[in-house]
Order: sequence, then C-alpha cells, then structure tokens
Amino acid sequence: MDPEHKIFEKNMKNIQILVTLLFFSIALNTTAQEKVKSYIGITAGPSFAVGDFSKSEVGSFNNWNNKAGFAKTGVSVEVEGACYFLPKIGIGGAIYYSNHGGFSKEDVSKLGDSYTDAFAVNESTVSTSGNYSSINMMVGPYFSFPISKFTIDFRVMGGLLKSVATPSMIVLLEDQKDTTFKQASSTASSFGWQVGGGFRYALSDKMGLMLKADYFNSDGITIDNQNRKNDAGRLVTKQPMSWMNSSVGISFSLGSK
Amino acid sequence: MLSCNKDEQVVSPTISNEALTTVQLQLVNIADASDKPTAQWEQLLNKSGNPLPVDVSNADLTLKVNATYNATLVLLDKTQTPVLNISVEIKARSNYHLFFYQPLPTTSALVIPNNPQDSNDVYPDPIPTPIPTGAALNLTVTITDRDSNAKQYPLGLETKFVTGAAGSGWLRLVLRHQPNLKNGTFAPGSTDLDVGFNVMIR
Repeated sequence: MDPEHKIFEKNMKNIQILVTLLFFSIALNTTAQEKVKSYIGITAGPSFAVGDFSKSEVGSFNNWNNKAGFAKTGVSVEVEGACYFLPKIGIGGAIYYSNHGGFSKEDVSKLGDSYTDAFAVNESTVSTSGNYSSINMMVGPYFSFPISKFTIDFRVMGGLLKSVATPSMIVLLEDQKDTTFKQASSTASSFGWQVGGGFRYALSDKMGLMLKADYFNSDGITIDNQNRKNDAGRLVTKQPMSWMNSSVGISFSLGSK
Repeated sequence: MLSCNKDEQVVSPTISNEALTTVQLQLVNIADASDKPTAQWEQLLNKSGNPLPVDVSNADLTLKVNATYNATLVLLDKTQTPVLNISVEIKARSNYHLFFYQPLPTTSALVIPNNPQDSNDVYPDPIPTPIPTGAALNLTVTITDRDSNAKQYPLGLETKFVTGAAGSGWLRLVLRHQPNLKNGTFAPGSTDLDVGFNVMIR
C-alpha cells in the first residue's frame, strides 16, 4: 500500500471512530424522541474502485507494483436494513454483490511489456479473462435522524468479503510453453469494514426512496499463482480491495410507530 | 459489464539491446595477492553491427599449481559509450541467468553438453573441436554467488578456481538465459554467451 493510501486509510478509520462516538452521543441525548421505524431496502448503483485496487500501474524493473488491482468502475446491488432498539440507534446489516470489471486491452499491453522486461525476453503473450466480483456481508450500528418525511442515516459496519472471482492471467514467454505461468481467479474471503450515510424519503407510511453512499475497505484476499519457478516480474499474492458505492433504491418500513 | 471478457495480446517491446562484446576473467590468488591472472575473450562489432572475428590474443589464463583463486567475471558492451558493464545487468537479472564453467580436457561428465557426432556442435575459439586426447586439466571451478530465488540457485559471476598439478587445457564458459525456467541445471532455456580460454597451470 503506498504511503498516501496508508494515510487515507488511517484518517478514514479515525473519522469512523469519531463519527461513531459523535452519533452515539447525539442519539442518546436527543430529547425529541421521534422513533425511527425499522426498515429493509433494496438499492443498486455504481461502485467506484479506489486506492490500490483501482491502480493500473505495473511499476518498473525490480520495483513492480504487486498491489495494483486494475479494477474498474462497476456496479453494486444491495439488500440492507436496520432494526432500532433505541429511538435513533439500531443494528443494521447489508448483503450486496459488487463487480469491478477486469483487465482492459491497455492493461494487458502494460502487463505484457512488464513481463517482457522482467524476464529479458523478446516477447510475452498475456491472456486474461474474468472480472472482480464479490458478495459482501456487513453488520454494524445505524444512527438515524428523522426530519419530517426524511430520515438521515449513518452507519459503521464490519463483515466479510467473499470473492466470487478475480481476473485470471496466463503469461507465456517467447512461445516456450514450459515458461507459462498463471495468476488464478480467487474465491478467498477477507474481513472488511465500511462506513456510509444516506437518506430515505417516505413516499407513504410503508414505502420510501433511498439514496446512499458507502466506503468499503479490505486489506485483501489471497491470490494463488501457478508455475512461478523464478522470482521475477510482477507477482500478486494478496489483492487489497476498496471502493465507493453510491446507490438509489426503495425502502420498506417494518412495524408501526 | 457482468460478462467475462477475454483479451490476448503479443507484445514485443525492445528491452536492453546490449551486445556482450568482451568477457574478462579476473582472478586473485588467495595466498598471494600479487598473483592476479586475467584473461579476455572479445568479439567486437563493425559499424553495421555485424560481428568481427573473435579476438583471443588475450585469452590465455596462467595459473599456479596447487593454488586457489577467487575469480570475478566481467562482461562488457564496448559498442556503447561509455563502455557498459553488462555484469551489473546480469546480476540484477540473476534469477533467470546461470553461468557454466567447463575445464577441458576432463574425465568427468560434461557440465556443458557436447555432441562429438554433431558437426555443428563446435567449441568456441580458442578451444579446438574435437578436444585432443590427453590428461585431464587439473582445474576445478566452483560458483560462489547465489541468486535471490527461494531456492537460491548459483549464478556464476563469482567463482573459486582450484588448481592441481601442472598441465594445460582450456576453459569453456557458457551463459544460459532461463526465464521462469532456472532450476540449477543446464538444460532449460537458451545460450546467451559461449566463449573459451586457454589455461596453463605451472
């Protein structure tokens, strides 16, 4: 992880802690006890890869970037909800599918150039397939503040990233098939954390519109490599993942006031 | 966006287009620092980039009997200005390069394969093909440097030469390029360099 991203991550974690404490404080001390109803919602929208996950630089000779993910802007589809045990504080969770594309033709060209240089060969053939896709399950405290027909939500969550697939890559050096090595698609899991906010607008007593944004981060999932006999060139063994989701959808209130 | 995509591309950029024009063996007797034999094999290029005849006028390596030498191999590209030290590049790329040293004549199994039945398999100058029959050269060469692969294979820029009784013969030196193939043996890969030296032990 580059220094800039490390600082960003540290700041985000500090902000996460401060926000949690702040909203606990506000929620507990608010005297207007307009109770928030529990809800469940379905949303979808773009998911923007950020940090090392989104980088598309291979690095330079003997200083290869083994964390760049080449991930793209993709999509997330989510089911989330919260159950409130205090007027404005509840426990909520989200399950969502996210997809962040795979290697583009330009990425493949960069990777090929890097392996040609790394192994001092005349040419490399790089073949790629597949996308980054994952199922993510998060849970944590929700802080919600109703204002007329609007409810403003904030949340801090932790949970599991389960990789469905990652892009795979096969490299052949100078048409010598014994040189072929592969970066395999990963179905590994890792812990992640997420912080976000949004608002709901009540269309009726039971249904509303949702608009929200969340930042997700995970130290990464393990990536297996096959037939790497010599230590040379870019080698990814753990892929950090982080993204910003923004989505719209529909919420359904549960219970009565 | 959710479907698989497949990309395949052959790329052929130019990497360092260096020429290995000059190979120098630089030895130091560990018991006598003033005993520093050297030898040089050279093949320069003309202005069109075509190889000129091999120059072995300085390819004589004279060693003392029953001595041990630390040896350093220096590879140069004299087509560049200033002259480029290719040994540095080889060391940076050590994880898929390997030098092989073959004293000749020998009664042991060949480190560098040679097929006397194949008329195209000739020794590099100044080594004659076929090798004349005679007593084995009393010289043992051991590689002392390693690469940074997990198994730390030998490299061959640094070696130890150990001589026995007086005699004469030759030393063949081959550099193998073994991209993602290096396993410590000669077979994988291709030959980047194949040179020879005269050796006298006296």
